[in-house]
Amino acid sequence: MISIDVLLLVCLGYVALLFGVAFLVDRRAQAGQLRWLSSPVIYTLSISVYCTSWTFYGAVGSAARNGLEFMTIYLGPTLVFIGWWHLLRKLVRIGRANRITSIADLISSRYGKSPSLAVLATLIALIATTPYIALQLQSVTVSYQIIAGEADRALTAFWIAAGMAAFAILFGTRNVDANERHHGVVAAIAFEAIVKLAALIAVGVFAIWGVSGGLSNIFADVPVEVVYGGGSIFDARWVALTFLSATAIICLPRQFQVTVVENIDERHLATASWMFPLYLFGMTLFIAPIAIAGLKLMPADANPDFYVLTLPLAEGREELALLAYLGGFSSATSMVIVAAIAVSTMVSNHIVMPVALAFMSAGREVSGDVRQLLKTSRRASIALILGLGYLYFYLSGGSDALAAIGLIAFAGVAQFLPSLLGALYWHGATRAGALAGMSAGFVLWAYTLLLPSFGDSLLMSAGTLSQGPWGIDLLRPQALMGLEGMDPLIHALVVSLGANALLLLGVSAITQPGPLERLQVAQFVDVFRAPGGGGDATAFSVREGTVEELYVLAQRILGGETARQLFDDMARAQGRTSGLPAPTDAVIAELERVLAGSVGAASAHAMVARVAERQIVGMDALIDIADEAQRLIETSRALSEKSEELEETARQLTDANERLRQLDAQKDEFLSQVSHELRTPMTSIRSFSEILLDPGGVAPEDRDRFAGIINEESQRLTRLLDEILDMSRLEAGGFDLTLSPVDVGRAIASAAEAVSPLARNDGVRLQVANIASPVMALANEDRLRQALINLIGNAIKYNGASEPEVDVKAHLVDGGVRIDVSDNGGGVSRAEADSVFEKFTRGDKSGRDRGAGLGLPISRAIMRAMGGDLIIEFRDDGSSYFQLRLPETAPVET
Amino acid sequence: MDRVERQIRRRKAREQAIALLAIGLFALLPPLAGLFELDRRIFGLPFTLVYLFTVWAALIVGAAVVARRLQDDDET
Repeated sequence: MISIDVLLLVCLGYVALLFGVAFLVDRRAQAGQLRWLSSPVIYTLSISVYCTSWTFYGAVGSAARNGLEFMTIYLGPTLVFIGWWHLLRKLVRIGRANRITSIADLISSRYGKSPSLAVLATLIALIATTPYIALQLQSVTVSYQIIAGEADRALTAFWIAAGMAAFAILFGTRNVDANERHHGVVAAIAFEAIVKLAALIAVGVFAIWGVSGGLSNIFADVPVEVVYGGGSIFDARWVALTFLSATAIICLPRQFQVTVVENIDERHLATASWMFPLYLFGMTLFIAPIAIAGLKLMPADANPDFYVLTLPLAEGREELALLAYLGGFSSATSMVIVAAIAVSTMVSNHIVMPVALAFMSAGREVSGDVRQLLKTSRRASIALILGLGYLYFYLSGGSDALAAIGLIAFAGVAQFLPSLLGALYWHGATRAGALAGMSAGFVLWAYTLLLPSFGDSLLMSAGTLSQGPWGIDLLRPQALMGLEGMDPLIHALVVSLGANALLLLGVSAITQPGPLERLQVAQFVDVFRAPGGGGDATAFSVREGTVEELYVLAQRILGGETARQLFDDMARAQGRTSGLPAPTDAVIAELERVLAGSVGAASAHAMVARVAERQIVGMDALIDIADEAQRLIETSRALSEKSEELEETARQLTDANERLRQLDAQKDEFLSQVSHELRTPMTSIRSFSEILLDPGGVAPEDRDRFAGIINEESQRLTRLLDEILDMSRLEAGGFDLTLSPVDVGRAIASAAEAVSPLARNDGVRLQVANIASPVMALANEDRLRQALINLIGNAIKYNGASEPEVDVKAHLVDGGVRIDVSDNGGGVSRAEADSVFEKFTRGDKSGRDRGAGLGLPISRAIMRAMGGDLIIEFRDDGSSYFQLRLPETAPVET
Repeated sequence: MDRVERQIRRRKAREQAIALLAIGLFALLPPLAGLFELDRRIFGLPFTLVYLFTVWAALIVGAAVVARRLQDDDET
């Protein structure tokens, strides 16, 4: 017997060593010096955490009891790792691409980041890991008892559990790495892997050459059946166990942690693909010999699980026994640490954190508190996990074969498999399907395997076990639906995994994935095709409908016409006379280039890549994106147009304002002029009438004269008012001139007649030219006469020549009638030419008659209102004459 | 020529990986494995034990070779 003190010292020393390794490596990792650690050997050795005390102790026990069956536990993982290119590589790729932190994270993430799936997966992981932890506790406890002598099993196990919890907490929760990587732990368990391998090989070598005298001797007098185990080796159980272990190497939380989460470089998988099976090979090589040696040399009632320990002890090799103990201790603690870390990560991420965040007040500073909460929840979870493991150990009596307990755990985590495979390979797997499958599988596993393992207990009585709940025969836990005669493990497997897979298939088939789920499907199932995934496929794996989809995309972004043109050109470049171009890399690149002009290079590439690479989410989402972009472009264009319009409007308003101001000024001017004009005759009338009313009397000849002046002035006033009225009417445009064909000659003659008294008075000779044939103009006869009278009157009044003459001529020009009114007095000077048409202006020679000065403006307005004009024409000698212009018209048919 | 050659080698490596896995499955599982469930001994060791470990070792060697080939040609 080795003294307890020595034992404890060795254990503590070993733990301290492990700590040292972990601490050192963590420090170097934080300093960024990860080179040594990123060796594929370290990675592979860390995967060997698969070999727990079940392998170290329990495999020998299994070999001794059941023959070669123990090999299945290691052949399954071998097959999975040999086929790494397909399953493991995809798993690792997805894990890295999506920053997956646990198997629950992967499942929940794939099925639309579903929190309910995460919780379910976490619970399954927690409960399935419990027996496994219990088996580690059991092995350490029993091995301790064997070496150190009898002790209270439950108490010992308790302290061991507490110690393991402390290790796990100290190892795994010192700092929370962003990627959930624990470099120190990985290094420590790699170290442990070497220790346990060395220990087992040492005992094996001892068993063969130290005890049995060589390889051939050891099996010499052992019947083959003992080696093979009873019955057929390669039976259903062999297949089932191989399958289970193959499942476990992926689905066990700790295995997922070291293989996927802790993976630094995907290429390490290539090395692990052969190195890990090699490690397993090395571990199992000596199992059978040790078992045989134990069977031969140890008493019949010795627990074959612990031959590894009892054999050296029995032969007096205490150092070897200590080494063996260390190996077993090592294998148990590495499992517990990694499993506790993995499961506590799940519990804190998927159960504690969501609940805590829901309750967290908004005011708290998020990062610091969250990290603290994370750490605390992790630690509490680890304590919980170990506590549950201890509970299981306590309730189950702690005396079962280690392998049997381990297999229960295997079957539990196997419930992840259907949903996991669906997540990786089946586009149509939905969240509802995964939920249904996993829940059913879990419940059935618990019912058929977990609860019966307690034997007769409160959870499941012996009666229920043998006759079914409430005596219902068909619901017997180990013979559901009448499936009798099966090995309980196989029965449980078939029932739970069968229901799991069937429900996954069935429910997925009748449900639709949500939008987030569809996105995730592409991320996961098509990870080797996506641009981020790279590697496997060629640049674009193009299929039939791709070009049509690209065409639709182009139409949405570029517009119908442009897209058609583009595709036509591309087709023609390929020599096609009609239809769409073939989807070559050049076509796709060209399209990308053109689209980049509208939506930017990154978006264009993303859109085209997704269409061309068969992303399911693709078309609808892409079309929505394209529509959105289009709408944005249009909106911004409309906005800029609007703002231009507004500018224009503002400008127009400013102009109008300006004009209004001018008109206002003009109006004021007009009013002041008019009032001045009106006042002058009024003054005369008033003064003369005052004189007439004068009581002093007025001479009769003065009376008549004065009355005459008053009369004249009144008339003048009236005329003025008429003119003003005319003017305003003409200007306002409310003046309706009725036009009709007018004989111009007749109008002139009539006007001349009206003016002749004035001409005679002033001694002016009036000449009216004769017109051969009647000239018709479209005009208003009265108004024309008025204008003519005004012009001719002006010519008479303002003629300063000594022998005044006024000429009136009418002639035809090019569809128009011209009437020239000229005098020999020179007419209007150039300087006055513009201003004569101003209101209230009188010519220089205005001395003789005081008209209002509105005559010319009125006449011009009349002419213009009739569709003609009144202008001043200048002759070469500087003299001028007035010209009336009118449109010609056909004479009225009589 | 080099690119085509590499592509062929890549494909071949993948095929070899699948073949290896298939061999493993057939050799280690019934019904084929049942053929090797014999009472005989080789070098004093039970036949099936030797058979299983031999197949296992062969698979490991094969995996090492194929892994190197897959690694060489994988552009990840």
